[in-house]
Amino acid sequence: MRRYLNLFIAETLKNIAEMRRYLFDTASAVVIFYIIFLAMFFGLKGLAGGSITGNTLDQMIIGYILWTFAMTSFQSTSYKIYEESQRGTLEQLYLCSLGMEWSLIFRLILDFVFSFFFSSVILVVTMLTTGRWLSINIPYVFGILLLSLPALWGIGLAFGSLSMVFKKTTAFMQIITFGLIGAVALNGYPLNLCSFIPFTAGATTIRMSITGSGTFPLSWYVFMAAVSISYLLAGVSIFKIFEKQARKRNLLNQY
Amino acid sequence: MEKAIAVEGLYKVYHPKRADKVIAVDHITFDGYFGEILGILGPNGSGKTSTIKSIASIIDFEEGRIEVMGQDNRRRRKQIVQHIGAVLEGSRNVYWTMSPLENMIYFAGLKGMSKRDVQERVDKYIELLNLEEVAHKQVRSFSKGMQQKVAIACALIADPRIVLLDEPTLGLDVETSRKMQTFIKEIAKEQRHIMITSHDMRFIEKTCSRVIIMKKGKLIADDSVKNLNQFFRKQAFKLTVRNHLNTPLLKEMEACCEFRIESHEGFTELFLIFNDSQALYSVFDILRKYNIELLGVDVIKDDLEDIFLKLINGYLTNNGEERQ
Repeated sequence: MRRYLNLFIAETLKNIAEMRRYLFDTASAVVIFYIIFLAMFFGLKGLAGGSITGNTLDQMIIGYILWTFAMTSFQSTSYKIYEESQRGTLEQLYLCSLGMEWSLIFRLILDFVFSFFFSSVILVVTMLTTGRWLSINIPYVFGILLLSLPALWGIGLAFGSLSMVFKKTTAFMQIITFGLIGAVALNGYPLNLCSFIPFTAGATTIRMSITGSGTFPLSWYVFMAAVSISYLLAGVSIFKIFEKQARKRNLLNQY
Repeated sequence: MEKAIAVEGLYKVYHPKRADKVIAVDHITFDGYFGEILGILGPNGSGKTSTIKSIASIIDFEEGRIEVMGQDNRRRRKQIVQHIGAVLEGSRNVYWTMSPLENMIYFAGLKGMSKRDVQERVDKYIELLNLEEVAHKQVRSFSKGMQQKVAIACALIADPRIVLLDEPTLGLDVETSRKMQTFIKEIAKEQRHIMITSHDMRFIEKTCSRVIIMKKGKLIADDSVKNLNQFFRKQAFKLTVRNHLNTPLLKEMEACCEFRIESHEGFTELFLIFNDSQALYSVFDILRKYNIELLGVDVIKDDLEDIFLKLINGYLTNNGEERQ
C-alpha cells in the first residue's frame, strides 16, 4: 500500500512541477474557464433578464462542468499515452513496478482533483464577481464525480491502449465524444437501462440534486460505484490486452 | 560470480505490414553476472536493442526464456522490473520540463519509493555526476551529455541490481564519453550487472569486462574482452615474402588457414588468420617447399574494432568455425 502511496505522491509532485513549468498554459486555462463562466452568467441574464430562475443557470453551469469533466476524463488517457511516447518516456512508465496502468490512473485522479479545485475556485470567483450565487453543493458534486468518473477513466484507458497499437484513433474518439453528450444528458434515475451507461447515473444524480428533485437511497450510490468500478476494471483489462500487443510489436517507443 | 540474467534460446520476430517477417533475435543463449559489465556489439539491425528490451520485458518474445535474478521475466514481470534500471531512449528518457531532482524523485516513485527512501542516492548522484549547479534547472536546457547523465541517475535512483543501457554514448563527445565510462565502472563496483549496447567499440573495450557480438539476430561471439583480444592476436599474422605466389602453393595454404594477398613491386604480403596457431608452422613448411623467401613475420594486433569487423564480415567465430 505504501508503494502505491509513494507513486501517487510522485505523480502529484510531477503534476505540480509541470503546472509550474507551463504556467502560461495553466493561467490561460484558468482565464478561459473564468470567461466561459462569466459569459454563461451574463449571457443568460442578458437574454432572459430577471425572469430566469436560479435553477436554470445552476443546471446550465453544472451541465457544462459535467460535460467538461466527462470529456477530459475520457480523452486524457489517450493524450497522455501519446505525449509520453512523443517524449520517449513511455517505456520508462512501463518499467513502473506497480504497473503502467496505476501511473495512468493516478494521473487521471490528479487531473480530476486539480481541475475540480480550479473549477470550484473559478466558480466561486465568478459568483463573487457577478453577485449571483448558485445553489451548488460543491463537496457533494465532488463526491458523486469521484464515484462515477472512474467509468470514463476505464473507457479512456481502453481507448488509450488502442492508440498504443493503432496510433491514430482520432475519428473513433470523436464519435465517442459525441456519445458522451448523450451520457451526460440521459436520465439514469430511477434505475433503467440508461443507468448502466458510463457516467449517466452520476450525471443524473448531480443534476437532480441541483434542482432538488430527488433524494437517493444508499443503494443507489452503491449501484453507481459498482457500475463505475466495473467499467474501470473492464478498461484496465482491455488496456492490458492491447499493451501486450504493443509489447509484442515493439510499439511502446513509436508514435 | 552470482548469475544475474539467464537468456535461453531467445527468439524474437517482427511482422511488419506489407513486408516479410524480420527475425530480430534468433535463438540466442547467454548469461550475465553480478559485478560484470557486459557489452553487446553489433551493426544496425543485429538484434541488440530487441535483446535488451526483452530482458527488461518491454517487448514480448516468441520463443525462449529469460530469467532475471532467478525469476521468469514473463511470469514475474512486476517483481523483476523493480530490480531493473534502464536507459533505452538516451537523453529522451527523462522529463525535459522537470529538473534533475524532480526527475529522480519521480523515477523513484515509479518503483514505489518515496523521496525519503532515495534522498541519500539523490545526493550521491548529484555529486558524482557534477549536477550540483543545475539540480533545480529544467533538463531541456542541458547539453546532450548532461541529459544522458540525468537519465542514468534516474535509472539508478531506485538502486537496481541490473542496469540496462542502450547506446549510452550516442551523441556524446569524447570527453563526456570518457567520463561516462568512469562513472559506469564506478557503479559496477556496487555488485550490479550492467549491460550496455553500443556501436562505440572503443567505449565497450574500455568499459566492459565481457562482450557479446551479434549479427543478424545471432550471437557470433561471447567472451571477455581480454580473451577476444588475445585469441585474435595469436591468430593474425602478416608474412612478407620476396616472390609472387603460384596457384599450387595457394591451394595448399587454403587447407590450413584463411588468407588475403597483397602484391607489391618486388614483394608480396600475406595476411593470415588461423583457427589454430600451430597452422603458422604448416604455412612455413609450404613456403619452404616452394622455395619462397621469407622477408618478415609480423603479428597483427587487433583492437576490439578489428575483431568486431572480422566477425561481422564473416571471418571466424571465436571457437574457430567458419562463417558467412
